[in-house]
Amino acid sequence: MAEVGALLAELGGLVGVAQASALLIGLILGIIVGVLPGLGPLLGVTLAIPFTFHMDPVSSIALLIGFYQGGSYGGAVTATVLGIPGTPIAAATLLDAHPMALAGRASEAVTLATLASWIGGLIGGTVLLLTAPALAKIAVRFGPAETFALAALGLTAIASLSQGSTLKGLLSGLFGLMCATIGTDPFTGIARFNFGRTEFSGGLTFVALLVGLFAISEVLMQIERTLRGWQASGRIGVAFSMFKTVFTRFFGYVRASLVGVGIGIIPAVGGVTSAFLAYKLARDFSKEPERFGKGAPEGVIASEAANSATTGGALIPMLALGIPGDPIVAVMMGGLLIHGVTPGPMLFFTNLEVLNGIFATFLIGALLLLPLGLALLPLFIRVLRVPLDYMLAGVLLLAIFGTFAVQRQTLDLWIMWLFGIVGYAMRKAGFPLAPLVIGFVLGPIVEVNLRRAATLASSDMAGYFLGRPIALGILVLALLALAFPVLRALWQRRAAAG
Amino acid sequence: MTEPPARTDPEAEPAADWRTDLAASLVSMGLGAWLFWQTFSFNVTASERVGGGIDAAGYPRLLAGLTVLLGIALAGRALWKWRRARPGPGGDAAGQGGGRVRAALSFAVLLLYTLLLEPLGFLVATPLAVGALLRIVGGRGALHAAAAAIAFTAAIFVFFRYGVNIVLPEGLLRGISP
Repeated sequence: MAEVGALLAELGGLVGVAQASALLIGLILGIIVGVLPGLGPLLGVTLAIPFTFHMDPVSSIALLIGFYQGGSYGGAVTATVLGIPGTPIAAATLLDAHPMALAGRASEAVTLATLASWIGGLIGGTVLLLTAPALAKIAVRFGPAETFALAALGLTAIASLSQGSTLKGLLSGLFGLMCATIGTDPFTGIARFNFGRTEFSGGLTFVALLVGLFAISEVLMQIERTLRGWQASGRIGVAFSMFKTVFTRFFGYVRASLVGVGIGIIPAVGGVTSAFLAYKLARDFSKEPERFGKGAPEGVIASEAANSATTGGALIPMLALGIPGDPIVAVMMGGLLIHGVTPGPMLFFTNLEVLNGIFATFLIGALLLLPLGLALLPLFIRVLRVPLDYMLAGVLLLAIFGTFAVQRQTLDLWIMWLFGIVGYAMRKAGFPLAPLVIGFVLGPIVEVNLRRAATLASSDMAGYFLGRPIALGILVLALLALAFPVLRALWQRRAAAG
Repeated sequence: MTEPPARTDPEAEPAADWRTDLAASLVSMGLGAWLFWQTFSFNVTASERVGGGIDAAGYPRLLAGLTVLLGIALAGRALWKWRRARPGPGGDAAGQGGGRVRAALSFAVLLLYTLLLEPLGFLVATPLAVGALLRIVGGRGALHAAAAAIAFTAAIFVFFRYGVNIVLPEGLLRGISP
């Protein structure tokens, strides 16, 4: 604990004007992309990545953390006002927030959501600060076998637990791993899949792949869907009377936050599940469960505190183990790799300044969310009046020139369009996109460690892994993650038959 | 637990039918087989062949082989779906046809824009592309689309040129562009 105290004392001094500005911009723009239905924090972080090239590592991650925290909160505003979740993670919030708005209590609902997001973010940040260093101390002893097993676990969990079929999730992950092999072999320098072009020797440009896969495919999907305008709301202000709920419903806030942070640590499960689980717990523990779904403040608190706390939890495996827990964190991990900062246990020894900068900006971002969310609420709601075609044109221009700005090569734009079409086709065919990007980010880690382990094992891979119980245990978990959807389907079938 | 009434999760597209799954499985098998074949062109010397075959060519070969295997499994599942499929109103809603044309046209405009960006330059190509997009996507009138396109171009130009100090392609306006 003394170390944590010293760390906390250091944190304040680590965030300078540049980092604080990046964080503030990230939070404001993050809330805006969260408010706009169909966008959300993933698209926000993706579009922000190209601009981080020109920043120092801490400012860069501050901007991305701002987008993550702001975007995760912004969806609640739309869920309350319009009755549709601005982001998927706000789906549980609308169950009670929208009925509150319909009953003329929109200000109360939004104030509650802001308070809950604030407390959830702070608790998530505190757990991140306390847990990640301890986990990294264990993980630093890991060799190639354990690191490979961890990466395999991250990948299989995401492929099998993400929405859609396990088979398609695995194929998506494999495609990401294959994309990561394009370029120069890390051991021998041999050119692989470079199509005879030297521009590919460094591999596919991460930004072009990412922007194409998520942003371009999303824009194409939105253009294809029936176009509609957003219904802007009336005036919404701050309901100060809701502040007393921090004391009267203290355990509700804390319980939901702990559920959120716990779910966040598990790869692939994410904010949607944590919000619904916390919501269910709040209803189960309530003396008046029948009020849920009709405008119960506890429902809003549970959902928002949980999904905000999940952001802190999701950063723990990324920072301590180098395994991204969800697609947003995978993109953020890519953002760090661009700066030569490799997340994982060694980060706690080799790049302490960046690491502490991440902790500091996360906690400051969580703190700023309350004043920012409440003070700028009318502005954020006005964003809903932007016509959809203007919004899509803006996203496209940012995507194009954000990608172009990285290397100033038109080739990157062609890669972006290619992955835009790939992403669009994958969505249409029911393939999840997250495993692809996580496969791409984890690809080099998987390959380098598997080949190191293979070299150490010589010709007896099975014997080598059997002699390393931690690696074996993690691989068993990976197999269980693969088997889980099959077992779940069997249980459901038996339950339905019974 | 009550389910939400609406979802906008980009990962949660409707379940694909057996035809889509079969097409996806064929693409997976074809891609995997092609990549598997490509790995034999890698110039791996004998001294670099270490680690039980998991070398510079062996690792991508392993991934490509797994892709083929999973593609076969997906094809099997698609055929199983086909056997269980009930005849009925299949296919997508007819109303999506217009949306697809709109998306295809927009994409064509964007590809053309990428081709012309360097020769015409940002300040000439962008208003043309944005104007066309606003006409296609939003159904805006010509004057409205032109005015909005010029405003968008100016905003993006100022942001990149003076905000983040990035010179955008000058094309026809080389030497006279601000």
